[in-house]
Amino acid sequence: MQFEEVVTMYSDKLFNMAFGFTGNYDDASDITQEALFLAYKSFSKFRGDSNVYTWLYRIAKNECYKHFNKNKTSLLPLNAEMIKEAVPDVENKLRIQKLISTLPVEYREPIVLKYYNDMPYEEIANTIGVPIGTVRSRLARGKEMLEKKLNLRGGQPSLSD
Amino acid sequence: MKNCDNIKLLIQAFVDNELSAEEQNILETHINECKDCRAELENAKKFNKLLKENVTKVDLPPYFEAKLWARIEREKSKRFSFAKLIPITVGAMCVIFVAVFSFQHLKTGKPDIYIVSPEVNSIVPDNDVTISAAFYNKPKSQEAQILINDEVVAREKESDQIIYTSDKNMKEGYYKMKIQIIDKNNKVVKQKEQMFYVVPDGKSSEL
Repeated sequence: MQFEEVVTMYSDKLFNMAFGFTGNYDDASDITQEALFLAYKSFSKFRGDSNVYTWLYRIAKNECYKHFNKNKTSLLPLNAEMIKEAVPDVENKLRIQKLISTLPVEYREPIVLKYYNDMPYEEIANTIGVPIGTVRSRLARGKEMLEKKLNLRGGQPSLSD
Repeated sequence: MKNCDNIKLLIQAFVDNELSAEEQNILETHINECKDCRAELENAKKFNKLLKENVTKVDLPPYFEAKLWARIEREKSKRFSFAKLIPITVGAMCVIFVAVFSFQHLKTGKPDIYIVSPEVNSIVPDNDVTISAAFYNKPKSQEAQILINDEVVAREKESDQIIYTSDKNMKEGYYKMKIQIIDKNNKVVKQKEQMFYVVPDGKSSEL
């Protein structure tokens, strides 16, 4: 596979992953640019031990960490007050995307890969490098946390409140 | 209760269509007997739908790939010069030194062809594509020409410089330009080439 094909096939997928991870369009763009550039530089050393996307994903995830460190923010979840302040009356879609990006990283990862990259559980497990059972439990826990953040537990699911 | 905790995991996997037939049977049997898990299943279905409807996929920013390739091209040109230097021994480097500072160069201290615009791998608006170059040491008997994608667009006989301005808006994309000095028999004596990327003018500010 030529690097041109890698760019054509995976830029969009990687960008959406970074967007899910950060909840920010510009940050996602910077992270994806950097990740693909680093991938280009080490492409000749990529031996195909893992799937191409898994390889790219790990580079991009690393870039997410670097990005958060550089901006002195953290991949740790924000507290309720901070979320309220950050997303008071924004559109529902933005609100839910922002909330995903505030989940602890171990729960955020499978949710991002499931909903932004449309991956089946097995592929998520291979990409993250955990057993499929862990993917199941992290997804279930991550969704439960999201429901709580959206105040949906025990009531009719709605984003309007 | 312990059993219900396990069923919760099955419920989430069920709404994602990730259950085996055997697990589905276990879930169905449990749901028929447990009211709480039945409610949990309904809730999970609704929340999954809500998530799918509200997670919006985003398109890549404009010129994302063009910017990436421009950066890669710059890296390639850096690598090229570096890679060439590594295996060369001190003796070979001396030879290159002599070659680089050949008589003509020593005379002027300048390259034979100097591309003034556009810069290497730059992104230029479609209504402002100007290619210009200056020549040092070009004998009057030799001509200079500009090629875009291997097609001659300008030719210059006497002058020590050459300029070409596109009279129409060029299509978006990568272009390869060459500046050549040719002799009487149209044989290329010197040549310099580089890439540039053309974008619609209105959108060049987005870059």
